[in-house]
Amino acid sequence: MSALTIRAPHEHEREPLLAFVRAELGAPRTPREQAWQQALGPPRCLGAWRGAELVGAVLGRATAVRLGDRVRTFTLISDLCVARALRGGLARASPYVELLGAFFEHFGGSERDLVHFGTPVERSWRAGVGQLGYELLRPGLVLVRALPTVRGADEPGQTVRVVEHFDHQALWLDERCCGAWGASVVRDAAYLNARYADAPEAPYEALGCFDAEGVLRGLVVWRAARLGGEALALVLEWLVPDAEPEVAARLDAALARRAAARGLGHAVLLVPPWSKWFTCLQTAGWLVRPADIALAVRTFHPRHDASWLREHWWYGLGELDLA
Amino acid sequence: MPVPVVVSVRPATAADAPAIREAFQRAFAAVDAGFRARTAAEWEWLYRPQAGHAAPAVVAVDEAGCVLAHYAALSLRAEFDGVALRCAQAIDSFALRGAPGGLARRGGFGACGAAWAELHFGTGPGRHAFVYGLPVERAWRVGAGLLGYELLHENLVLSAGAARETLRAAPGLEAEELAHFDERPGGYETLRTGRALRLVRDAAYLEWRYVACPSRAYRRARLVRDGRLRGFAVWRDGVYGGRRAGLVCELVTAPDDAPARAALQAWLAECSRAAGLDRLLACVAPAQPEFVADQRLGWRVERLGNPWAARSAWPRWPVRALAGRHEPSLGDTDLV
Repeated sequence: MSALTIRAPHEHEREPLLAFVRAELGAPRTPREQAWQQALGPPRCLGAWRGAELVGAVLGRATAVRLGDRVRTFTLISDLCVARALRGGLARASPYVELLGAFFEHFGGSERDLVHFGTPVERSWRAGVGQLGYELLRPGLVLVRALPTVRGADEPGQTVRVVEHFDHQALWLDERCCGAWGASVVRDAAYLNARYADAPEAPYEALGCFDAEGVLRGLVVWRAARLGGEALALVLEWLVPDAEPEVAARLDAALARRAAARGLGHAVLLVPPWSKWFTCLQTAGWLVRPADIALAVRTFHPRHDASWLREHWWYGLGELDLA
Repeated sequence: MPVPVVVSVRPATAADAPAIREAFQRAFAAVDAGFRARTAAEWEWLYRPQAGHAAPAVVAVDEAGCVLAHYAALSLRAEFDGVALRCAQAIDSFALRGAPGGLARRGGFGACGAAWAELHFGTGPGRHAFVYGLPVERAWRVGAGLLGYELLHENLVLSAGAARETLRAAPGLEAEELAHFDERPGGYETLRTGRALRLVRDAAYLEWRYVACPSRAYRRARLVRDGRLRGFAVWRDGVYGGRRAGLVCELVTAPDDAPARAALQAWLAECSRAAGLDRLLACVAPAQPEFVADQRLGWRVERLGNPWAARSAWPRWPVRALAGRHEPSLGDTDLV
């Protein structure tokens, strides 16, 4: 029988719990970044105590997802950690399994979070697949383009410019894009501002393509990052209606110019393989490459299982906590 | 109409073949508009144990001896990490409509799949540690829930126009058409070495798969230079994922032998043009270096067909890890 007490933290326990996560995970995030991430969506947080000692934690954040004519929540599990002394391998009663199982029980359900997802480390995978119903949604595949190859110069009437702050047009654009998608984050101004415009240290740049009337026709959000020793432009959002290839060409060209000017070698974009842009951007010179970002899902509704999500869920690097 | 009752779930024998084939035709004709009945000769070719492969199966039968459900897999020689082993390709598995439970867990199909796994899946001698297949969506859901299927590869193919200028051989490197794989020099299985998970594509396998098949016509070619085999390819005019194209059943060279690969791709393109087909389709896993190299020659990644599902009995090698080591080809499936 487990000696752990697993529950949501009381208000006064939240900050010690976040500090515990930073310490156990080697402080990959500053306190400010961590607070920002927790504030991005309704936080999902459980701690595990042995007596009075905090020995484990799971952190996640829920995001509003449009699913048909309803809005549901999908939750990204961003952090899972257990005190070093308790890491006893992958046994059935491992604290990882206990913690995650409790998390799913507490927050998941057909009328609660419909999907929990993340990019687990190997030990979580092993416990999760065998005992907690994890499934691989998709092996990591990204589109990569070499920089700079600039084409599609702006023509009179449409301009690409940096978007400092999102307004009501964000939702208009999202609604023009999402018609063919079965499930996708509601990319309204509140979401995009919280996720990108208000991020600590301002690492993101949003490029909007506007027509002569000032209507937002397409959007790219990217940031510079080092991965595998290479300086890359990671594209977090690619939001272009399927029927507007000229908008895509302009944003692609602007991204290439901006990223090349920063001395970056390649741009990396994640779109689902069923997306029109998966095909079109290959024609424009992007190559499909494997990437070490396998996405795991735990779903709580039989109709929206991993097979369904694979074919219908639009997500990109922006939904993950990798960048 | 009385509901048939499963009275026995047992390994199939050679004597069951006519009844299984008859039930197979009924099951697939009911759900696949493009289904083509399989001849007795083709059934014999596929299921009769021969040197190097077999196709163990389990059937559920009713009290009259009628086959209600069937689970089978081709047992094939493979290698992983340089070690010889057997893997299995799930094929022809079905439950007749009206059979108790249908494809559900407690039905004949579930019982057959579970019995097959009990008999043949695992890491012991004579067992299969790696089972794969390309199930349709409904079978996928049953397989994931009941038989431990996991996603191995998405339904992606490489696609190229047969007229592409980049699919040209370098001067002096031309593939030669091949009647049989036992012509010298051999060594087909030695072209790829290393730690990947792949079928053993030796002359015996290739001869069975692409020469002895009684119902499908394949064109075969190899590239020999200085008396040494540099690569081989197998092509077929066929339909994959609902699209007719020149199907690259095999394209095997050493990983770093780009000229040999280009020469064989030129031959494959020529086969397609000669057949009036404007497109080539091939299967290359994303982790293989050729996946990106071929895109640089103008191949594009498309979604087509069904995803690859697999099950692994190796605790250290879950399916998601094997995906990075697996070197598949369209010819690894029974669809081409």
